[in-house]
Amino acid sequence: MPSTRASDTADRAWRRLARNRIALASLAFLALVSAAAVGAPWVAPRDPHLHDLAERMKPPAPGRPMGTDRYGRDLLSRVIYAPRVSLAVGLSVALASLVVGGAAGVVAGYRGGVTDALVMRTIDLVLSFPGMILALTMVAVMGAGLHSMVVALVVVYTPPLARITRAAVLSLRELDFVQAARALGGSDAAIMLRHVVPGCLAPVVVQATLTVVYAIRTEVTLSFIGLGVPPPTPTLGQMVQEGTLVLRQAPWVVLMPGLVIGLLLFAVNSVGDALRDAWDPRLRGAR
Amino acid sequence: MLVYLARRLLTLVPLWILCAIVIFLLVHLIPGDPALTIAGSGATEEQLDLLRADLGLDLPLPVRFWRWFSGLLVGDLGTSVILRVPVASLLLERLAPTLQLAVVTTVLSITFGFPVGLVAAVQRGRRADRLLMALAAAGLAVPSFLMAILMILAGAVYLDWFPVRGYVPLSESPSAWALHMVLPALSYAFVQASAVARMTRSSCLEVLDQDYVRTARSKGLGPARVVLKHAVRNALIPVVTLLGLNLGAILVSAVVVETIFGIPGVGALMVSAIFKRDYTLVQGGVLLTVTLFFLVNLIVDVLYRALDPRIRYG
Repeated sequence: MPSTRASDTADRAWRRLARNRIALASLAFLALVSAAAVGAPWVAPRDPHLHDLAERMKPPAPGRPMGTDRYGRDLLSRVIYAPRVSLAVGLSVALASLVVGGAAGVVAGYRGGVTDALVMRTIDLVLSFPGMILALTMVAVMGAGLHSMVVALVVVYTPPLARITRAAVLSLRELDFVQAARALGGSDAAIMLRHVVPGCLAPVVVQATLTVVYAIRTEVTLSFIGLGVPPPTPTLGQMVQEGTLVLRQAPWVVLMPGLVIGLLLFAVNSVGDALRDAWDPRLRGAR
Repeated sequence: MLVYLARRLLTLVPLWILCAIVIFLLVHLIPGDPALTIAGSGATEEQLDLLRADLGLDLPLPVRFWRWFSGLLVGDLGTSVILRVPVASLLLERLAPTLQLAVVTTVLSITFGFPVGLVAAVQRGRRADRLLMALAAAGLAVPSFLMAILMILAGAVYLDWFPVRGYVPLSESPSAWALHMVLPALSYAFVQASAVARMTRSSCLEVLDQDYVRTARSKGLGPARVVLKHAVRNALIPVVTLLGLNLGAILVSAVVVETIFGIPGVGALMVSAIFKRDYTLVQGGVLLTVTLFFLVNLIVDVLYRALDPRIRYG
């Protein structure tokens, strides 16, 4: 008899994940970038803010593996520091959206009725705005910065999570074991926590991983436009933007942070895809 | 069909009004005094008061909302606070480049994405499939502004085939227009083509598992005939939905792409309006984007039903 216990599913999922070489490489890369970002003051070879006008726009060379920008700042050091903002935004947005959206989805799906209608109409309203435009306007309203960016992105990315959670809960609600728990007189809160939440974890966690991708991508884009965390804090988007000013003379100023952005997003995306494939192979390649 | 359309419109109207309210409230929470921004810090308190009265900033919020909203119904989006020109005409003259960019991008993303998805589905699990899907994953990961800059670097700086930035109206010179469109369109089409390829692949795989495809195969039809004649039509349906969503996304990413390439579209206008705190213009621009987003999704739903007779106009 096939076991449906959550730990078995997780076990099998983990084994499938371990066979996925791209996902493993991505995890390793993410660990490396995160460790470097956290330990940046010790890891970075130079001060990321230090202007050195004698060393302006120097191409990559043994002493400076990524070259310098138009103020002579060391790009490697800046690229080590810059993911701090992206990772912080990506993780906090995903986590907050997971908690808020998950809770809203579970309650709406389990309760039904007016609660459900209220939650769903709010979701419809937020989703009727294009995400990037909503984030852009909200950040413009609240003023550029880490705090307003996280708030704006949580507003934008919570509804999809709530919707997915609700759908999962709806299909679980009528299953025998939930009905049995109810018949035994379990309280709503206990049933939701003990029986419903574990059952809908897989699709929700996958969506949360993808939320990290979306959040980082929007953070980088907002920083590029000039609505991110303001200088002197180095951010990847702002580094690319500064690099466009010297695109012809010093293309590496754009390419180095650009490469980090591409690899970072690709890595998180691969981990998300691999998680989804591992949990539910039928969805392989779907989006 | 008409009943369906009418019903959809009826549900869209209240949602649209709600959106207008949210936009208005959002924009009016923008900190900073527009009067001060326009007049400059040298203005006297009297001049500022006069300007505020002129702009209607001294009125209570509900009255201001009603003025704006009743104007909307007759196509009046108010006057730009900074440029002193009707917002509607500002947006209207910027709409053509944005829509052109959206259409060219969509066409490019289907021409590249759909065949790639088909090939990947037919080659399922083999090297070509894995290679193409890794490429698609990369395409989805790279943000469009980065793609745009890479395009400029490759196509304009190194190869020098295309102009770095700028825009020529289609009516002025079609060839120059096309030349200026290539890089901006490609930079977002890469992202979109990746999404189309993934969607095509997965919906095609689903179709290829169906009984009627097996029947076609057992009749002795070659793989090319099976895919092109029997599978494509059904695999197309989810792709159309995706395209609708994408067209909306393209309108949005125009914000970045237009700014980078100096295309005088709605997106570039919005960004400059945000930085200048031109709140009437921001308000109008966001509302226009939301409205286009609604319309595109409505058209897609109708198309979707036209493509698939199994979906009833319920």
